[in-house]
Amino acid sequence: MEAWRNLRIGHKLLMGYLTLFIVSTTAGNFFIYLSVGNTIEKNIESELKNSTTTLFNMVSTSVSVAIKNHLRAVAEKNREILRHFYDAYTQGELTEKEAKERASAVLRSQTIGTSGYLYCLNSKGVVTVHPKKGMLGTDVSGFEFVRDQIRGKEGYIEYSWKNPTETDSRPKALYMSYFKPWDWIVSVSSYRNEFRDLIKIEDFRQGVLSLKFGKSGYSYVTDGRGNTVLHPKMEGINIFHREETPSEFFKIMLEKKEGKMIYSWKNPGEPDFRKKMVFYSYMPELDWIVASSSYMDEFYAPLKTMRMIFIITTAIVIILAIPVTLKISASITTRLGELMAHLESSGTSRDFTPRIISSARDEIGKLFFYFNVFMERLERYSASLNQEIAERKDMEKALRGSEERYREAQEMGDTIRRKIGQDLHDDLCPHLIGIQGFCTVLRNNIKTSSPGDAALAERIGALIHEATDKARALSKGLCPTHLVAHGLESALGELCRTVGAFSGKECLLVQNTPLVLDENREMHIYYMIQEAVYNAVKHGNAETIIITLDREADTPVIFVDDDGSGMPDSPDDHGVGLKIMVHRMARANCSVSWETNDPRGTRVRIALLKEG
Amino acid sequence: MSGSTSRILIVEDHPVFRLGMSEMINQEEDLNVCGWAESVLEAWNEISRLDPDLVIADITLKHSDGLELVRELTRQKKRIPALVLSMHPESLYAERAVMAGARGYIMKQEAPVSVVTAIRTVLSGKIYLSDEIKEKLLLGISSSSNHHLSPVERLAPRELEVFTLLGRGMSTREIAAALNLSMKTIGTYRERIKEKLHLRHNNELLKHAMSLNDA
Repeated sequence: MEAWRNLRIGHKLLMGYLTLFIVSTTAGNFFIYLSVGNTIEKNIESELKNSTTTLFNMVSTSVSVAIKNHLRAVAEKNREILRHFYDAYTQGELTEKEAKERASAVLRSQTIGTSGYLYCLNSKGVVTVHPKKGMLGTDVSGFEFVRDQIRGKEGYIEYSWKNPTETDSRPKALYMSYFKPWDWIVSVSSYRNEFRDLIKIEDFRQGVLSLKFGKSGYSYVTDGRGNTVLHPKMEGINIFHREETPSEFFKIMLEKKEGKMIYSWKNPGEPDFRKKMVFYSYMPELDWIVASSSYMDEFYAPLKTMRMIFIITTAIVIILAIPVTLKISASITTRLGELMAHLESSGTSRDFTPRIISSARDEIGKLFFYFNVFMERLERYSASLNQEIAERKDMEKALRGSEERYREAQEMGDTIRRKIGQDLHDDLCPHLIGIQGFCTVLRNNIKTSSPGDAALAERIGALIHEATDKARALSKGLCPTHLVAHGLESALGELCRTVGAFSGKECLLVQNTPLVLDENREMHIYYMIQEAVYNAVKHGNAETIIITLDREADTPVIFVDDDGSGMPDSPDDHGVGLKIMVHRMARANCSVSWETNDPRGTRVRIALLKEG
Repeated sequence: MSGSTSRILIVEDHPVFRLGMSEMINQEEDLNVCGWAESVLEAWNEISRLDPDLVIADITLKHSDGLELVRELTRQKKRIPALVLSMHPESLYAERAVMAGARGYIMKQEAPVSVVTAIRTVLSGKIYLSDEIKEKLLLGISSSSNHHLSPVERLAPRELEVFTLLGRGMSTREIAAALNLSMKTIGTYRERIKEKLHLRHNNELLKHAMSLNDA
């Protein structure tokens, strides 16, 4: 099945067509062959059968005519004899009784054939003359043929007769002639088989031998002992005595008397035995068999011719079908190949401009048309897609540029912030402290001479101290020096202290797990937490803020919980700080989420995703 | 030292702070700021030139670390006492300064009020630290089960090996390859070292390892 699927269309068509053709032709031819064969057989059988019947009738008629003529001649001659004796009576030469007795004696003295005889009946069916004296005066009108005699008085009658001493009835024939003066029906009766010698074979020889069946089929007549009575090739021989021909079939014919048979036969001068079919019939009165035979190879010759015609026709059709099929399949596959080549070319080169020019309106032509429509659409889509891709690339480039600029701006912001923070811490603070030192010196110098000014100087010193603290707090906010120097946890601790100190709120760090991150990540995480804490203090009005470092499965998480007023519902209300926080989220490779705490406040959850 | 006046060298790169402190110290009769320096190198020059009784040093100096100066001063035979004066919170740096050999630690914010007291305490041979830091240091010593050992001595041999290699500037990957161990194992050693040495941060671990290696 797989092999068939992978076969080329041309081969499929060729094989399909040839298989279909061969199967249908063979089946058709087979049935025609059977039908014709059957018809031929029936025809030949019918012909043989009819011919045998005709032959039978011809011979039978010929025999009947011969017997009839013979019996008629005898009957008419004996009527003449009766006339002679009657005339002698009428002329007074004899008495009527004498005339009748003498005539009767003449009639009785004759035999017809071997056992035939003459008898006379009167028109009442009473025997007037008969070889057997006991029969005289017997009324035999009870017999059918006697009634026919009484009715007809003249003519020929054939009938079957069985003597009291015999077991079977035998065919008899009689001819009658009526001698009216005495009311005698002169009947000449004889068994018909006793008249073989009367038959003149020449009367029907021509008729029998002229019958032809096929090329060399013929009719023949044999007698019951195997002698050929009439035969075109070997007349006058005995089949049983001829060694070179089989005789079994003849025994069967004799046994069956009538029917059809197939046997092998070879006539003198013929090289081989050939099968022949024979229809035969038995003529009991002559002990003859008449037969019509035909050679099977001859009457089946049309079948052979037909077979040859079929074979030649099939071969011619196959020879014609192959190029025609190949031509048809090529007209499909070549164009399909063209389509495939276009598709392949378009697939590899992504060039959707090629079109197939075809004026054909068949299915392939339509396929080409659809291909062109499809390619047109693809071309449009491709152009549109390319444009979209280009636009998208431009947009992405612009976005990347924007992000880069934003990142740079943010990093610059971070750097500047750190720088300012660092400067505040490293420069302004010591500067202020130095000034505070001068104040202290001034105060000490004027403590005795000008106590009021000394107090003022002390006051100035205290204010400078306050300024120092503020600058320091500011620097911590701007630059988490702890982060740089001591890491995130320390920086968060410092954040808590600072927030606690300057806002008056409670800010706690709960450390359930250690956190080790690279510096850049720490920075962003720190600022995100700082933003969350500042939001809680500034916008959420929280009283307590708890920063928790924890772990969910393998993921480190940081929670910033507060008890403030919660997050604004609308994203538009989110401040710049939160937006920056979201931006830092990507930079720090973490996820940030907000949720409302129960009963109040906000929980910010920062989950640190795995690096790489 | 001349008479009863103690000569003090200030190593500080911020001029205003330096002046303010100098004025405050010089106001005391028994104290005198004999000179100043802005870097460790300058400091050494001034120390050898002026031979001060006390050095007040900031940790963050121009291109240099004040603790290095302190550490070196401690090593010298003269053993000039050093007082560390820094903007950094003492909670984080005081212990380290003391470990380096400083005799006192004072945050700059507190200087206008307590610098003179600190100087006098140190000059008298005592250590000046806030009560809070003193308590922390004592607690640290008593809570350690093997307090007779230095922090580095508490490390197991393998941990010490890792610590030493870290000090030579090798990365975790390089150490793992050198010791034929996985990077994860080296990571575990690093965490243990940090825990044993009370180091909170990877940078701190590196700094500590490198400084010990230098020593």
